[in-house]
Amino acid sequence: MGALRRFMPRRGRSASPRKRRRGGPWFYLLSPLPIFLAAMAFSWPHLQAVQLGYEFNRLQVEKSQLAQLNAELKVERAGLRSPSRIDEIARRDLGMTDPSPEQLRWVRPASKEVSLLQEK
Amino acid sequence: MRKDRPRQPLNSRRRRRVDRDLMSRSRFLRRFAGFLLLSFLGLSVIAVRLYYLQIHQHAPIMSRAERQYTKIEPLQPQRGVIWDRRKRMLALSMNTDSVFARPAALAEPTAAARLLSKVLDLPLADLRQSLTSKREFVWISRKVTPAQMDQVRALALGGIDSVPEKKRFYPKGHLAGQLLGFVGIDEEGLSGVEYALNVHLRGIPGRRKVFRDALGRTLLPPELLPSPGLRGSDVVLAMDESIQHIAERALANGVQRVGAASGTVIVMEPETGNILALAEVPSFDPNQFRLYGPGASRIRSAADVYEPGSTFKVVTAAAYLEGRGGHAEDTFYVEGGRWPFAGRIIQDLHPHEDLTVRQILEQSSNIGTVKMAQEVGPALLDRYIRAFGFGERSRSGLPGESPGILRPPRAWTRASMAALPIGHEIAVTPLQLVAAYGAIANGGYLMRPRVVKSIERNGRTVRIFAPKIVRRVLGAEVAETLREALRGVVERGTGKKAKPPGYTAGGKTGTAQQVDPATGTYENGRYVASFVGFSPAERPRVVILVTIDSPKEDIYGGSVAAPIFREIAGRTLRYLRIPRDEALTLRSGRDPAEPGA
Repeated sequence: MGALRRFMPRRGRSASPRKRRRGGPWFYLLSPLPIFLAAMAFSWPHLQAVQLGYEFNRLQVEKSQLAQLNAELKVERAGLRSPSRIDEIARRDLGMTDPSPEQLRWVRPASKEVSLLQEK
Repeated sequence: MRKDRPRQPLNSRRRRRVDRDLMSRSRFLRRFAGFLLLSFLGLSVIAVRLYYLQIHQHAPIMSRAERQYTKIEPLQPQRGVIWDRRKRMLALSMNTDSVFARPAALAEPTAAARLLSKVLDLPLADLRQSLTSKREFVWISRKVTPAQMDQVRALALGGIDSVPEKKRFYPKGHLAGQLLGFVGIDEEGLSGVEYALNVHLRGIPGRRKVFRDALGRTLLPPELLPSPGLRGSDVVLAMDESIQHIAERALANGVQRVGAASGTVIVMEPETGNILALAEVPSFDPNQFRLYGPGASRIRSAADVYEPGSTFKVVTAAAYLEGRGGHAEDTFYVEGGRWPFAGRIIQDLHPHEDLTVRQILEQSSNIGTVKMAQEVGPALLDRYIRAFGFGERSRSGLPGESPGILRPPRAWTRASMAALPIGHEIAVTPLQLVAAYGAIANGGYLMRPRVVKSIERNGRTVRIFAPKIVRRVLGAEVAETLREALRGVVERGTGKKAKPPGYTAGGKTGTAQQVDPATGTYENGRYVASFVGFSPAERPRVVILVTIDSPKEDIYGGSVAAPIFREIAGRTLRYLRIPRDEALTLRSGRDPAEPGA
């Protein structure tokens, strides 16, 4: 502050010296602030966009990984539901057999879901 | 000293101080002006440079920069899913990795080959040859499993890298393998439904523009959202996974039981033409299509033809009843089982003297059928054969479908009228025959076999392949007469073993000698045993065709194919919750459907 004061005009004590000594240096110090703020206002969204781009990309990767996992689980589920697998487990491991006709009693008519005639 | 200095007047001191202040201010202003000038000059230089770079050289610099930090990445479209009629998944594409190498970048190619050989289960010699080659790029393994890729990454070999690709999975393995078909390395359908509907399933390739920073990280600004092209549409088949399994299991057991070379089964819904199952033995697993020989994925039910034999007699009977105005009780003299006609001897397996039309079908009388054909005449017989869809493709949409072999009447000889009516001198596909029996089962309408039910995109149906009536072949009355006659075949005739427990059924057995393609003559000991029928007999819900190629233990359709029909029909009708149409008798003698039974 002292060094800077050398460049400042030194006025007589009569010309309200206290105000001029206090306002002068701050004026020069703060004068770049609007430029800085303008630059920040200009560049901040850009920086944010870049950051969001990284975030977006990270989320894209995560999304594709989750989609991949989802697809793998779907394939696994479909494989586990394979009729041949269920048939084999039922017959071999659980000792199940097809019901004979006299063991079957229909308690309700064919549902809409499985009725071929009511298909779209 | 200070005391000796002469005192100056106060005004003079003040004036000097003011002068000094003025000089100081003037010096400051000069310096400040100089600073401003220099700043202005500096800024001017920057402004000029900025103008040059930003405006004058804008286009070339921008394109240069874009080349450096942007990249166009191609995006392989997601191939559509194939569902069964109840939306159970049959085929799905997933992301996977393909491993490649840049041999020049490999520090120790031999060691790398040894490691990769173990991880990827590849022949070491081939791998070593690839990695020591002078090529810039070599594929190591396409579409490896996620576990294998993890192991490759763990090896951290320089010069070994991977690219993402899609891979088709068929989670049900060999279930409906031929019907589904398979895709090649580039995800293009090569057979079956994958091939026939490739244009819908494959989608449209996309591409995306990505920014890469100095570290090579991908940066996707929101304004450059990826454009992933168009995902392939999903295909919903008319096939039912459970019925397909029932058919495949019964067929595999039946083929094994009689030591046959192969067999096919088609299950069709007569009212819509829906192909509920299309089973073939030997089966085909599209996940491992490379392990099979050429032709293994062919849909034999649509592509292969055979002489239908006695199963064709119903067409002659239909021509007699509908075209000639005959009646089911019209009687024909069947010559005691042996009749010389057109230079050949026609024989019946079970000799009779007189048979009605109904009995001719029940007893599968060759003589009676040929005599009916004599009443019909070649022109009318040909008209009915073609009306039933023989001699033309059924337009089911299945690839490689054959129209069969049917010569025009002008090419027929007198002997043809002894052969064609009983299913010789004609070759049909199983698909044609099942559609023809479908017409009898549904009251006379020839339905187009319906393999695909609909096409969906994002869960919404975008196209429906509606059931299509090709033409009306028979009147309802004649169709009913034929159904009754065919029911008699199962209840009293050659097809007794076809009757499913608890259900009525109708159908026809067939045993036809095979023609040797090399000599063009019938081959001794090679037969096609078949049964085609429907159940329940009153209001058929399913039409089922079973053909067994070259059975060894037994050759007759009634004993080889009919039991397979029985098993498939019984289990399918129970699965479809079709109430039985025939009273069952328990050991106690009571009908279980009765209250309290």
